[in-house]
Amino acid sequence: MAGWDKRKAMGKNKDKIQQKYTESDRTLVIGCICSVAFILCIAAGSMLFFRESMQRSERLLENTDAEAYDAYYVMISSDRSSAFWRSVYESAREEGRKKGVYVEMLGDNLSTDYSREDLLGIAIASNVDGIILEGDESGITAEYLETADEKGIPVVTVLKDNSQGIRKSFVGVSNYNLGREYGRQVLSITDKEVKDVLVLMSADAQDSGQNIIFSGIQETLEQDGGGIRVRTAAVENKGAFDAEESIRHMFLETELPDVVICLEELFTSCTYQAVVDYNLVGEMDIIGFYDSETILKAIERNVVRSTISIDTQEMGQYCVQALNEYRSNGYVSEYFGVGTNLITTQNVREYLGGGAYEQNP
Amino acid sequence: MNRIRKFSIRVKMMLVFIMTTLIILFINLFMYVNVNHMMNRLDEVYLSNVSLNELADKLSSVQSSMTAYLNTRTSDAMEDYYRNEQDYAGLVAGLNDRVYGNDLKMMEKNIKNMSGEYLELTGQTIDAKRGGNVEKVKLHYGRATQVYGYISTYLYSLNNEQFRANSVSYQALSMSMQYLEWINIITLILVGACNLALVIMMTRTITRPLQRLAGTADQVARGNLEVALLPVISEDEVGVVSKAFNQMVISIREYIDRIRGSMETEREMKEKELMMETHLKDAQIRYLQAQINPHFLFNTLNAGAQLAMMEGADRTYRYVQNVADFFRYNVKKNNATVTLKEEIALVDTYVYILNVRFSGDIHFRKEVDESLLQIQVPSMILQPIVENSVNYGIRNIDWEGEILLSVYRMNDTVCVSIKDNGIGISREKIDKILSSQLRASDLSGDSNGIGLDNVIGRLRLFLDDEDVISIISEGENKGTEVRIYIPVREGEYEDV
Repeated sequence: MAGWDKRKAMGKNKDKIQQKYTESDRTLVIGCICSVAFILCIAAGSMLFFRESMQRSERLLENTDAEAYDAYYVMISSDRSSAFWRSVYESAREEGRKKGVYVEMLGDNLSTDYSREDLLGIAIASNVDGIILEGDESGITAEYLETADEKGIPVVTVLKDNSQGIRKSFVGVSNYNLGREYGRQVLSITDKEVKDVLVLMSADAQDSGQNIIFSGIQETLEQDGGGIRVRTAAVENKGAFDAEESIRHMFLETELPDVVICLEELFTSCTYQAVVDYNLVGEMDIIGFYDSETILKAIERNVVRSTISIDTQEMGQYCVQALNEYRSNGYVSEYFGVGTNLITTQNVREYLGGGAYEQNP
Repeated sequence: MNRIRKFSIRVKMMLVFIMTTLIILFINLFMYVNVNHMMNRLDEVYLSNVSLNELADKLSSVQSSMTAYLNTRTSDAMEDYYRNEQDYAGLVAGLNDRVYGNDLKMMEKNIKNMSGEYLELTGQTIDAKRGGNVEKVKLHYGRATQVYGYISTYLYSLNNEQFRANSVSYQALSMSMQYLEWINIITLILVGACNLALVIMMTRTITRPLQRLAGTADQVARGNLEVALLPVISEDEVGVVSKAFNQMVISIREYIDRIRGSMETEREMKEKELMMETHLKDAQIRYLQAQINPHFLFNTLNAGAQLAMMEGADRTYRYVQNVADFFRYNVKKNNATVTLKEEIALVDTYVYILNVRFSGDIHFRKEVDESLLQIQVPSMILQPIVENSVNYGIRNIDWEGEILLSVYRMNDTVCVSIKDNGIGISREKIDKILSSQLRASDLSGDSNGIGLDNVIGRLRLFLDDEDVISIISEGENKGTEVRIYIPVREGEYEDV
C-alpha cells in the first residue's frame, strides 16, 4: 500500500516536471522563432535601406528626373552673365516650360567662351528648333541667318535687330521712342543748368539701334531749343573688361558733361562707380538703362537720376511665343513691342521691394 | 516538438550548428550580394566619361585621317578615313536625340546633330578632293574644321559636366557604401548575438537533462535512494540513460526491500527453531518426569528408609535417605536459583551415594570459605561437574582417585574449583567443551541428562558473561580442574 502511494506521488511529481518541461519547450520555441524573426527583420531592414540608397544614387546617375519636351530653342546673347539677359532667359525658359519647349542659354555649359557668331554657327550645326538671338547689324550675322533659314531654323532677334538678315521676328522696344524718353529725362532736370550731355554708345558700329536712340535724344533736346550740347562717346566692349576701362579713361581724358546717358546696363553700372570714385556725385547726373539692384540702389542714393528698364519678363515670353507661332503657322508678326518703365527716386522703392529681375550674373 | 525529442544528441547538435551556420551564411551571402552590386554600380559611374573619351578620340581620328587624305591623297588614308567615319557614326548613334529638360542630354543631342553635319562636310571635302576641286575643298574643309572645333568643345564640356554629375553620384554611392559597411557590421553583430542566444538556448535543452541526471546520480552515490525519479522527456541518449538510471534506482530499492524481507524471515525461522528445541527439551524432561512419579519414588524410598530404621539397619537407612534427598533436590530445585551451600550439600549427597555404590573409592575433600556459601547460583551446576570428574577423570585409574572442592575469594570474584587427579583432558576437547561443540552423542549414557554443556550455557546466561568457567588440565594423567568464577555483586557481598 505504501509502495503504491509512493509510486502515485512519484507519478504526480513526474507530471509536474513534465509540465515544467513542456513550458520550457514552449519558451524555447518562442525564443527560436523570435530570434529568427529578428534576424530576418534586420536583413529586411538593411535590404530596404540598401535599395533606397541604391535607387537614390541611380536616379542621380541616370538623370531620370529630366522630362521630355517637344522642341528645343537656344538663346544667344552678347553677355550671358548680365542680370538683364539672365532675366530675359529665365522668362523665356519659364514660358517654354509652359509650352513644352526647352530653352537653353547656349554657351552656358561650354568650356570655351565662344563669340555670338560661333554660338550661332553651333546652333545651326546642332539643328535646333529655334534661335533667340540678340542681333546686330553685321553682315556675318546676316549670313548665318541665311544659313539658318536654308536649314529651316527660325530665328527671332531680341532687343537688337539685324535688319538685313532673314529673321522671322524682332522682339524689342522702339529705339526712337526710347531716345525721346531719354531726351525728356534730360529736360526734366531743373535743379541745375544742363549744357552738355554725353551719350555712351557701344563702339560696335554695326548697332544701328543706338543711332536711332541717339537721334531720338537729339531731336527732343533740339525741339526744346535750350542749346544743350549732345555728344557721343564710344565705349569699347568687345573684349573682357574693356567697357569699364574705357569709361574710366574717358572720365580722365575728356571734358566732363553735366549729364551722362548710358544705353547699356554695364555702362550704367561702370559710370555710377566711376562717379562715386572720382567724387563727382551731384556734379554729374546719370540716366541709365535697366533695373539691376546696383542701379536701383544708385537711384535710391541719388547718384543715378533715373533709369529706363525694359520689361524682361514680357521680352522672354514674346521670344518663345514668336518662335512657336512661326513654327505652327509658318508666319509671325515682324515686331513684338516690349513695354518700358521709367524708374526715378520717386518710384524706386516699388522696384527695390519687388526685388526687380535681379539675377546673379 | 515531439519529433525533435526523438532525435539523438548528435542530430540535435548538428541541427543547432547547421541552423546557426546557415543563418550566418545567408546573412553573409546577402551582404556579399549587396556589396557586389554596389561595387558594380561604382564601376559604372564613370562609364559615360569613358565612352565620351572614346568618342572624342574617334572624332580626332576622323579629322586627322581626313587631313591625311587631303595632304597625301593615298588610298590608305582614305580607307582610314572611311573606317574612322564608320566607327564614329556608330558611336554617335548611341547618343540622345530627343528633347529633355536637361542640359547634358541636350548637349548630347547637339553633339549628335553637329556630328551629322560634320560627317557630311568631311564627306563633301573628301569628294571635292577626289574631284580635284580645290576651291570647294578649302571651303568644306574650313567649315568641317570649324564644326570639328565646336564638337570637340562640346565633347570636352559634356565630359566635364558629366564628370561633375558622376562625382556627385560617386559621392552618393560611396556614402551609401559607408552606410552599408556600418549596416553590415551592425547586422553581423546583432545576428551573431542572436545566434549565440540560439545556441545557448538549444544546448541548454540538451545539457539540462544531463545535469539533472548527474545531480540525481550524485545523490544516489551518496546513499540517498529516496530521490525523485528523473523525468524522461527526450528519446535521445540522455533519455535512454535516464530511463536506465530510473530502472536501476527502482531495482535497487526493490532488491533492498527483498533482502530486508528475507532477513526477517530468516530471523523468524531461527526463533522458531530455538523454540522447537526448547520445547523438545521440555518434552524430554516432561517425559522423564512422567516416567517416574517423583512423589511415588520419594514415598517408596522413605518407606524403604523407615523399614531399614525399624530393622535397625542404620547404614541402609542412611543410604536410602540420601538417595531420596538427592532425587528430591533434583526434582525440586530444577531450573531454580539456589545458594552455594545447597549446591555443595547436593555434591556431598552425590558423593556419599557413589561411595556406597563404589565401596568408598572416591576421596572427596572440601576446602570451603564458609562466608561465601550464601551466594546465589543456578541449581544443578556443581553435581554435573563432579559427576564428570568421577566418570571421565578417576573411574578407570590405577591410583587412588581424589576430588577437591574448594570455594575461595579472588578479589571481586568467588571461585569454585573442582579438581581431580584423574586421566586429564586434551586441549582440543577443552576448546570443544567451552565452545559448546560437544554434542549429546559424545556423552556417556549413564549421565543424569544434564551435561557440562548445559551447565556452561546456564552459567553464562545467569551471569551474563562468557568467561565464567575455565577447564585446566596440565596433560595426560595429571588431572583436571574446573573453575567457576562468580562475580560478587555489591548487595550480595554485603549479605555475605
